[in-house]
Amino acid sequence: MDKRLFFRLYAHTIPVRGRERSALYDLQHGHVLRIPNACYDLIMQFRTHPIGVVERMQPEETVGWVEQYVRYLLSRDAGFLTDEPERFPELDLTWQTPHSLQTAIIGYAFGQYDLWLVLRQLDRLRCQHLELRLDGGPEDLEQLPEQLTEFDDAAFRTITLFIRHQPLLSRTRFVEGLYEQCRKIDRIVVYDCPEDERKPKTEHVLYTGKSLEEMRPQQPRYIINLNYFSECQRFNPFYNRKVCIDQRGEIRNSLGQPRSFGNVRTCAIEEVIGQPDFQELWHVSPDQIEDLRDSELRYCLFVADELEKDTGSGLYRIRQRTRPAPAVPA
Amino acid sequence: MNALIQEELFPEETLQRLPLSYRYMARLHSEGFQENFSHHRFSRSWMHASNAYIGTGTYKPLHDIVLQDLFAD
Repeated sequence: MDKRLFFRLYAHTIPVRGRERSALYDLQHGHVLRIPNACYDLIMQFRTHPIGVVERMQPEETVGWVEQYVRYLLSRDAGFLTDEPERFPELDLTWQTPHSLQTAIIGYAFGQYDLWLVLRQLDRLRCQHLELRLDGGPEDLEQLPEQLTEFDDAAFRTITLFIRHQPLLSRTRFVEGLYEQCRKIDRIVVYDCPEDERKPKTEHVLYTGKSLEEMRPQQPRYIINLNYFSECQRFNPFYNRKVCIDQRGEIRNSLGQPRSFGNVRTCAIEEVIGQPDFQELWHVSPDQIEDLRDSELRYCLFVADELEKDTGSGLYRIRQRTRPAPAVPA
Repeated sequence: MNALIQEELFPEETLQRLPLSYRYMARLHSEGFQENFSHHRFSRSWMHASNAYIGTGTYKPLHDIVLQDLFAD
């Protein structure tokens, strides 16, 4: 190995230090390689020094590690050797969006408030993605196709539907027809569906016996991509630019959160989401969450739990959601 | 998806009149190209003045349910 060369990570491979271990995020291929902190420290030194100089900077007992780690990183295709390191700048991790709202999650049981007025407000705010969690009778659902097609030229890119099962849904082609009729619909999930009423899964329609609660990830879920990683540097990827409206019309940061910022029957969504209080959680990056800040996986771990502020440290803590006990068969 | 289709695109007598690089041309299935957006759904958007408004999903779950996992199961 030519020790005059520099070792550079590929721009899409980004090292993150944790308290006990570090990680290399390969944002192009979507995987993470966990490495010792000693390896992370060497990678930092490789940024400004050639391999030979880094070797001379080490204590005598660890000199041999340098070449071993370089060979290991090369074998994992994490980087390359070059004599022109200045020609390979690091990736710009600034996260930007022109949208004041990215996602809106709406629980609706038909009747507590006017859903269609809410959707018009979200359209005016150029909300990108809409998720509707509907719980209604057959007569409510029958009006759905006509009402949703009114939003065919709205600013939403996608609409995702979760519909609680009704016999109407599985005994007719209602769901399939709804998908074909409304071009904004991306996917439809019919939940709480009895086994004998379930239709085969298609690319866009799923019938499941699970409840909404049971569909939440039961194991840690990791999301590894450039957008998620860069959003995590300054924002909370779960709460950022999201508004949730529950079945009673209460406007919240998340459907599971107790705090309401107003009701859609009396407040304009635009005013509510503009409040600094509402936007507080948007800016809680993983580095400000006590349970995550020491983890090397903090920029890819998907955390959908409620956050609470520790007034002493100014940091936030994850409040685990109490999950209902699994049903015990009789 | 983007597998090369091994076939002779041009007969030998045509190739003799064409530049050498034509011998190395290959045919790919166009549906494999992301750039063609053939697997995307399009709608309209009045605000964006678009009749071909692409329905791309997000890079993260919308809320507490990961749709990709549900549909992958």
